Amino acid sequence: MSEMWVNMGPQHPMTHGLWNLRVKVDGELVTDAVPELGYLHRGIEKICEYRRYNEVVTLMDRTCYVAGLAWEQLYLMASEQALGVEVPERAEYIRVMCQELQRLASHLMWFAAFVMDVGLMAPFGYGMRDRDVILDLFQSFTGARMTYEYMRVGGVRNDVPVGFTDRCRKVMGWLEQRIKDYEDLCDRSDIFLKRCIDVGVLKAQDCIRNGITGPMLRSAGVARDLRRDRPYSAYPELDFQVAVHDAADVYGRYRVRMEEMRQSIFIVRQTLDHLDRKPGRVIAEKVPRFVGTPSPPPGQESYIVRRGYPKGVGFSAMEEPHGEALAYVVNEGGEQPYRVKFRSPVMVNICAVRDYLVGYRVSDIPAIMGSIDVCVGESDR
Amino acid sequence: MTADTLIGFAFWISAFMFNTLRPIVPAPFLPLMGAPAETATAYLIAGTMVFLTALINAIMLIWWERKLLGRFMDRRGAMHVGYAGLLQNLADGLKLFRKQPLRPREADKLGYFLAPAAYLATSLMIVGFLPVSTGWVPGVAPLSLLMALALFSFAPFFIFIGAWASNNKYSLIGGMRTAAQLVAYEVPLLFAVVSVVLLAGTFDLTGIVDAQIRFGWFALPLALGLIVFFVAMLAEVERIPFDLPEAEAELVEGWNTEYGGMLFAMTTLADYVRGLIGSYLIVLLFLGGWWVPAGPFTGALNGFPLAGIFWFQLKVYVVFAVFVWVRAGLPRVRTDQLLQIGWKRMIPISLANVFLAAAFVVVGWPPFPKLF
Amino acid sequence: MTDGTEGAAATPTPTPPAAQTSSAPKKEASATPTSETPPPRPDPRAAPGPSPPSGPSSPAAPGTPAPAPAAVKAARPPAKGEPLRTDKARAVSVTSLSPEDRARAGREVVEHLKEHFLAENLLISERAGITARVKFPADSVLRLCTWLRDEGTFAHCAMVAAIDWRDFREVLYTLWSDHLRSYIELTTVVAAEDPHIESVSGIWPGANCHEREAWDLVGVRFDHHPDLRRILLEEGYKFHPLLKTFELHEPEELEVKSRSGR
Repeated sequence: MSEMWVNMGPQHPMTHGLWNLRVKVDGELVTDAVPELGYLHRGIEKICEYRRYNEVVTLMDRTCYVAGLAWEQLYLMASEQALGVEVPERAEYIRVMCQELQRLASHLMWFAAFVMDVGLMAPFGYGMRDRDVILDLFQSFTGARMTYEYMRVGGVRNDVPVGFTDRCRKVMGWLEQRIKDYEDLCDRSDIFLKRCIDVGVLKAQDCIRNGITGPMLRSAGVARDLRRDRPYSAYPELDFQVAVHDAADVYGRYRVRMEEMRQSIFIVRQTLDHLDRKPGRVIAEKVPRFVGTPSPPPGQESYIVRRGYPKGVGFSAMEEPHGEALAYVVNEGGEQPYRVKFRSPVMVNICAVRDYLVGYRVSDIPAIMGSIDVCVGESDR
Repeated sequence: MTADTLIGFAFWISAFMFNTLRPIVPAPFLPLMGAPAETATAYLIAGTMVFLTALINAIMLIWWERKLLGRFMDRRGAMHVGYAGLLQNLADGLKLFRKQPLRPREADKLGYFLAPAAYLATSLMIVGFLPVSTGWVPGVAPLSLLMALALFSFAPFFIFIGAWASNNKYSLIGGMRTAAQLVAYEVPLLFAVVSVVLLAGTFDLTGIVDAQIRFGWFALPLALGLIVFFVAMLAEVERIPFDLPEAEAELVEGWNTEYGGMLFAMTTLADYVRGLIGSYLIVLLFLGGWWVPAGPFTGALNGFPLAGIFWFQLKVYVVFAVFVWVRAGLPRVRTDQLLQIGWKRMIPISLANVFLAAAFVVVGWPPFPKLF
Repeated sequence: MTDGTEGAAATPTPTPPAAQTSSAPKKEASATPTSETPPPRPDPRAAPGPSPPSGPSSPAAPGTPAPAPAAVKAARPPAKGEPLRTDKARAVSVTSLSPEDRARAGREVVEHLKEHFLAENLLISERAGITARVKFPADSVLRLCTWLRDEGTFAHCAMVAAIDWRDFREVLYTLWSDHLRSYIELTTVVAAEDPHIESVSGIWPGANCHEREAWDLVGVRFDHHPDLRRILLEEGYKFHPLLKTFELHEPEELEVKSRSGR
């Protein structure tokens, strides 16, 4: 039978964003696949060079629209290193709590989209509903549901409100039950298992060759999690486990993400306990004026004293919900960063598409691509 | 009472619907036609009746599905237009109706415009053969079941024509899938029907329901057949575990990707008309049609005016609710898995069911005295 | 939305939820002092799982590339009655070194690197948070990367970046070692007039997209790259926008321009 190229995207239900997957099909069989990126390229790295350090945070929310806070922290960790700013402990804990809540929200969004790709209708609503509950939490202390602009060089903008920790604990307990329900729903469905098992296999060696990170790598049996392997922020103080699965297929990725959600709930509870125990500052006392802090906290106006511009290079690595994200911030002593460079895990995962898509069927494409958890805003930047 | 007589009169007229075709019908098919021909007016009225019945029911099924699916997904479904969103689909239809019919430049004009029309028309025609209560059938035919199934299996041709004419790769793959799927599931579907016909001894749908009034619902002796028929019907009407031809995740809208506006409305409507026919057939063949056995209350339950239609519609909506339930709860199978289920599971089960039915014919059903 | 309150009470005793996991992060420093057995610690609560641990039988020596599990069978789903969360998922233990050992091993790797590439005059400097920053001449990139991948355990190419310094351009390679649990940063300089360097996508296929991006945005050509097209911008675009010569206009300026142009 003759082969033909099919463009899946840029507007396509499978893509979850704007990118184009060109697949060569022989009947129902996929014989080649080429990803085309860039439909959502906004030149964020270039714009960063024209913004002051705190103003870049706004862009970070737009970089990955399902895990904005993760990218805010990624950028800020690098720029704080470049500027030589210390972050107070409480702010680190709040950041880690944001991280994990964001991971929960991102994975729930992934769950909703993934089951929809496999064809399950009802859990789509459940995933979105649960994500909404977490967005409510975000709203209560950042004021926004999607583009938070919450973190600042040297800490976070404001402390969590009174009663937040109890509310968050309540949500976490509720969510834990829900996750168990979803696992029951999917793991006991024979059709779901048939669609997932032994589909989109990418073994550990291939994952490492291709630079694939995140849940995809962990589902292949490699326990690499930067939160544990290269702990940053408050993670050295926290207790959790790394979810790993051996299957290296769609099912393994699903299990790893479900387990990660459970671990995230566990981490959030620890950070909440810490927040209850130890009040304190949430933004560093000595932040250079030029980073663009909009207004100094009351009583702290004196810190506006202008200092010389420090120079330095900041490098940060972080386990983002999609994988390993890196950031370089080159500070050449100006008010704006000289160069900002990000590593997007999603871009690398997408670019290896030929390795895990060829040989499967057209019907498998949504399931496999769904299990990658694509966020195009992040890969195109 | 007046409404009753009016509708009854209309249906009586529509009983002659096909008789206008009498002069041009070949001789072997003449027994399909009933009384001598009347007027073209009768034909029109009957056609309108069938058309309205099918359309109103199909639109109500869409509403029913949206509401149920909403509940399954922990939301409310349509709720703003009309009471509980009852008129939402009419509004949607009106919007689609106002849209300009656009054709892709490279699409084949004849096939592209003809396919949805033919798809909808053949689907609507089937409704003309399905009795909804005693005597309430426009197309009186001794072989109505056969006729309905024959018309039912027209669909893949039109879908394939539409898919091919659209000149779109998604459409093409969807059309191919439709062909493979419908052919695979036609066989178990017909085997399941054969078991019913064996037990009832007639191809007339009214006769089949009469047989169930005498023997009890065929769902009892032919439980296997019901399962096979239900699954095969899911595949035939392309609903979710088997909705590969329009799997929206990989093939944007499947075979009707290129259709928009009223053409899209027609294909969707035809899909739901086929869903309606599927529910009709399940009720007629296995669930006792319009008859509700209720022991001592049988007379009361089946005696009030329009009782037959009431119970029949109730059952149809319940059966369709099961369709929706399946849609909410099951993922979509893969192409190869679909064909495997069809050829390797459904056909042996349906064959076993035929043998079971034959055995019942020999030893008699029910093997014990009738309960009600 | 928050009606369910089953787990509302804060759990005072933090024990990690039993799960398909590997090792805890925090206690590691104290819990595993320089042990050399690879611990695919089986979860005691785990039901007898489908596949016995079959990871690398010896700890990854500093010379072996990072871990590949010996063809593990795809884990089957849990049986119907079995509790769901206890199905085996065993981590291929990457390394069991303590942080101090890892730091020492990292220094050893750097020493080896220096010895092995004496002729290249590597400029090695310390940098907080990473093993080292290695400045190398551009023509030795392939040999250096191959050595680091095969001998230096840096099997994962995390990022290839390029920076425009006006007079010259810098190409940065960030590699990650699962054994050392650390990054190493390789940096080299290419001329601004004809910026080109040998591609490493033959060593790491994963570097492919990074190099395409560097070409796209900074205009560094990678020789012998299998598919050096633009990745984020469209084909035929004239500029490399992350160059400092590419000026960004503020939106209002653009608006004024377009108005005057009309």
